[in-house]
Amino acid sequence: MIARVRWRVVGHKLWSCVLFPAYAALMSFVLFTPLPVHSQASSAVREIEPVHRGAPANARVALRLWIPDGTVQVRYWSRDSVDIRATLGRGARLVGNVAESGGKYAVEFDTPTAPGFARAEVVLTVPEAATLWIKSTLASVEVRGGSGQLDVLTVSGNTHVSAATGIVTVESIEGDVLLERLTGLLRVRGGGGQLTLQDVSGRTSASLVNGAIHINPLANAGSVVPSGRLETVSGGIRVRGALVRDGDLQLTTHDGAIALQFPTRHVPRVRTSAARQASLDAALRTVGGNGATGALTIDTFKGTLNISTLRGIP
Amino acid sequence: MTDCERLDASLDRYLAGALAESEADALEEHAAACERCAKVIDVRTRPLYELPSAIAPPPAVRSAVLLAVAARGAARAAQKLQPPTAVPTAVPTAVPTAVPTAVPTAAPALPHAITAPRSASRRWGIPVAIAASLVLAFGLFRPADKQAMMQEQLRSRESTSPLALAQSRALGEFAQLARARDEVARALAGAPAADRERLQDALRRMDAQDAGLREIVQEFAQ
Repeated sequence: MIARVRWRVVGHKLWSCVLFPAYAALMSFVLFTPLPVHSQASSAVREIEPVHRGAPANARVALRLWIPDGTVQVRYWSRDSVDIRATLGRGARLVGNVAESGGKYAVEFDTPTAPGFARAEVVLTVPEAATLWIKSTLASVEVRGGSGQLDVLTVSGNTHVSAATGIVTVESIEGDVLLERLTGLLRVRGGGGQLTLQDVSGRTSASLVNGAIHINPLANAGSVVPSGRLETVSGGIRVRGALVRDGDLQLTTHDGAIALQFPTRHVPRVRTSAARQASLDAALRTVGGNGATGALTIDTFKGTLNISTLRGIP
Repeated sequence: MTDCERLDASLDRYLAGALAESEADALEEHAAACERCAKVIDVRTRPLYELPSAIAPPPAVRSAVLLAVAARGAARAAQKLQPPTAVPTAVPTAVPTAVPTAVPTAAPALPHAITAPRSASRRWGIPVAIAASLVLAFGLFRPADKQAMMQEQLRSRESTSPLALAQSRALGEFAQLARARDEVARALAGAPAADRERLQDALRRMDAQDAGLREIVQEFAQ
């Protein structure tokens, strides 16, 4: 009897002190836990809707495109018209139009309060000499060709421009930028994204903060390093290839490392601060520098400097 | 009170422009002669100049502050819901004293013997149970929920406002620029004449980079 009584007492305590709180806590958690916002919003991009528009335009049409998220592909053609194809995320719509000399397209949400950025996949085809201004937060931008002016502005989206001959400006807070086979005037401003230049021979100006700058050679020997000024605060700079003939390039970092690799027959003159010039000259003698192809000026506050030759490229 | 102490005491009013002209003049005269006080004024005023009007306050700072406030508020709420420390000790002491004395005496006393410990445990057990469940529910789950909700709200704001996203993503870049600029400025203070021009040029470049980055961020305000 006593055991039963004690068991009832213990059982009551067990219920009141352990099981009931656990049960109540579990029920509170189940009842009051809200659904995460992103799970409510994720359905916004599930459904898609294709859009196709075209408009006549003159050869030097100036076009602005705003796409918050997704992808943009720009192609150029030798026709006097603009063509845009878009696959829109659910709730997004393509607004704007183009007249003969200019216009604007934008991807927007139907309801301004919809969560997330309106997403779309856009393919834009414009006349060869068109002037383009593309603005985006998260979309990746790919532009191939063109002889007109191109401006790309992004927060995080990556940008890839190739085979352009006009003036190219890319501004990105943290998106990576890849520029290939460009011969025009280039200007890149940004923060943390990496800038890669491949076979770029135009006058180039680049200014980054945490982003690294890489100048890569192509697979064959035709590597070209542009003239101009490249600076980054904490990202490193790596130059691999030969400077354009009689070119001059200035490299500046605060604490970012600088690594230079030249073809053995194309080592340029390299100058740096007076305090480091002697050790730099010694390094240049070991790689056989003859100063035959351009001049390089290096200024780094406390970054390391390394010089070597590119294997396999004369 | 020394001049330095006087400056410390009246700095807030000086920065707010609430100091009388004669007092402000005296303070500035002292700061011009005192390196320590000049530095104090510089530290207090420089960030204000560097903050862009449209960027402040940065979302990451706001999120950190909101999360800290939410966590502290939830912790305080949980602390208030804790039962008094005497409650758990009262239950065990009541049980052993009542059971042995009541059971051997007589059968009619048994119901009373049973009710004695039960009433004691009921008296404290139910409030303890409710308090414990509330502590568990609000002390463990709610702050986590609140944090998650706030993070989601901030993320949601960044995912609907291009400017908020740009500001948030640029914070690290501005901080890195400021660190590098400070290093160069310190080096410039003790640099030989031959290096001064190069370092001043580096400072100018960093200022230009800072301004450039701000321009990029501001593009997303339009």
